[in-house]
Amino acid sequence: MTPIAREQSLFVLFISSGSINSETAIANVERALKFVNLSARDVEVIDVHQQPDVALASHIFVTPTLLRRSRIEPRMVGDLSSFDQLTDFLR
Amino acid sequence: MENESRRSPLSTGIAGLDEVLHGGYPLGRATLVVGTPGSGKTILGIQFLVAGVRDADESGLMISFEEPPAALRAIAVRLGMSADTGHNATVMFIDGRPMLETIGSGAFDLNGLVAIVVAEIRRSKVRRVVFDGIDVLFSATGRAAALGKEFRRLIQCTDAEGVTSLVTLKPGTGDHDLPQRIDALEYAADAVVRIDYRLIEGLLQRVLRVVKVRDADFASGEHPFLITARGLSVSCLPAKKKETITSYDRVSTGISRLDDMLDGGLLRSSVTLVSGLPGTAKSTLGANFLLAALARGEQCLLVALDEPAPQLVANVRSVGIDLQPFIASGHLRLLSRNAAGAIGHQHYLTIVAEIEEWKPTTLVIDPISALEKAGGSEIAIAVAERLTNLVKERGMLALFTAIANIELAERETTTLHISTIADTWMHLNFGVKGGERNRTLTIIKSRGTAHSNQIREMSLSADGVTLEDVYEFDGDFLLGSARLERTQQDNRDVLERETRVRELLRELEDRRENANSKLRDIKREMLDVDEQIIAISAESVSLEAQTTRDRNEVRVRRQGHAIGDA
Repeated sequence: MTPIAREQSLFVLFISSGSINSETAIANVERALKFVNLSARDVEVIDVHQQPDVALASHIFVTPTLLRRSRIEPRMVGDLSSFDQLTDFLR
Repeated sequence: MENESRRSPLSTGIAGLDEVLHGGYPLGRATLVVGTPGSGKTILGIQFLVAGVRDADESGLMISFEEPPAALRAIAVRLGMSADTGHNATVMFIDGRPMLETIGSGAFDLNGLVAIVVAEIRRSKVRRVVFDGIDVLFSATGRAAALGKEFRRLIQCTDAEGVTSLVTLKPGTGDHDLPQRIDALEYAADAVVRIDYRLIEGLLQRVLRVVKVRDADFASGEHPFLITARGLSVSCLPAKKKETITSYDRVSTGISRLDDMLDGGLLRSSVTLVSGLPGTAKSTLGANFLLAALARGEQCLLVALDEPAPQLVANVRSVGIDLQPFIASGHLRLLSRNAAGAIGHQHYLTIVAEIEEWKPTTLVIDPISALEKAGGSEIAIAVAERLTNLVKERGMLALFTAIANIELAERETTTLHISTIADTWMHLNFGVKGGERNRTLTIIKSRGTAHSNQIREMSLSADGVTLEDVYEFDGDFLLGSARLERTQQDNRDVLERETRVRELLRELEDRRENANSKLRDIKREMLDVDEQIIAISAESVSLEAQTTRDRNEVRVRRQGHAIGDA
């Protein structure tokens, strides 16, 4: 379903560059990674404006959206401000 | 922006909606469409895109947040979108349905959607975009508050790309702040259309209303609409009357003497109302009118709102009006509608669709008064008015029948109102003459025509409908101007006079006999009264004598003196 190639990271975070929501989400993910023993390499960040076709193929209408590379859902939508939800999702 | 004069609007692809919007959606801008579930938003959107391909060779894109692309594509095909149109343009569908397993966590925006749409607009030269059911994105994530801001983001993007867009959404349930939210969206959009449905006297009526169009005028008020296999069609009564076709050509009613009464016939591009009680042969007159038009080689449409049209055709056969060959040859089409089965505007739009598809030149509706059963008198009048406008815009010839008793005028508001719209009004009635009930015809009015004001006797026979020359009115004989068959008519007149005189004599004798018997009764009564007067006088004398005796007796008992004692 997801033709997301390149580096085989575990997670993909779709963002929109320049948006506050997206910057917050990136910061929240970076903070949460340490708690679940993952590194920045495990999350690929994709800007929907740079790769709209990838966004379309992955049904990314809303940013930020965090999902596993292997599955199109479940997914997290929003600035990921709930730390507990985020760490649960990343585990 | 406020100073910018309005660019030419873009056709909506929907019959009637262009008239409501005075041309269409604002070109290169966003129109918000608010409607309850099932109100027809999606079809409205697809019609816009299909029209783009068909009429303007423009590609369209629909992102649906509610329905799968396959279902939408099927609707598009049904609305006239075919795979090989010969057009380069096409309609694309993107599945925007939210994933079921979505965890909402904080604020988000629609940049993903914007990026996808912009990429598609540029790649496929899309000129029209529909976002269908945008509210779903927000209700799925529980962040309805973000709707306003994200809506603006979306329309800023489509405006910047110069595409014309529609954004549809449901008013929604369970969100108490939604009315204010929608107000905010309406403020941001260039145009706002609300669609809804409701029940009127148990019948479903769909209505459309334009809330605003920035810097432009539109037809205000509620406009009924219909959803058929061809999509939406909106019933718009324009504030300004459209150019109507005026013609001084006379066309025959099918009854030559009626034509004579009408100074040569009816005017083409006119509406004739034939009113009358049940059984006065309104339908027969209508059928005769059709037959005349068919004989001239015209295409005719017969709309039956009461009994089914084939029944009507069978009925008039007995009076020598055979319409069957014209049905077989395709010159006459029948449209049977159960008046009570749908709201009046639906009947109207069905008739309009038939007229537009087939372009008949003569129209008969029998009886138009049945529309009262389709939502009440007000709707019936409005529909009659719209039909009349349509007939005149197209220069057609129309005859409507209506059940009415003009003696009870105050109860016949529908027919009376329609009569004011009609160019010619004929009333059929029963006249009682010489112990017979005869059908009569009166031309009450005929615009632009010197017409006879006589009451005529109308007769039906195996040869069809004929008008007799003369009919008596209030004991007077009115002679027709048409003394074409004078000799025959004279005999008829003499016979009629003789019958009438005999009848009058008999009547006078009856009255004399009546008076005589009354006189006898009165004499008897006078005798009776005299006898009673005498009896009462005698009684009163004896009563007085008795009274005197009684008083005297009282005095005696009191030891006084009797009256008269000294």
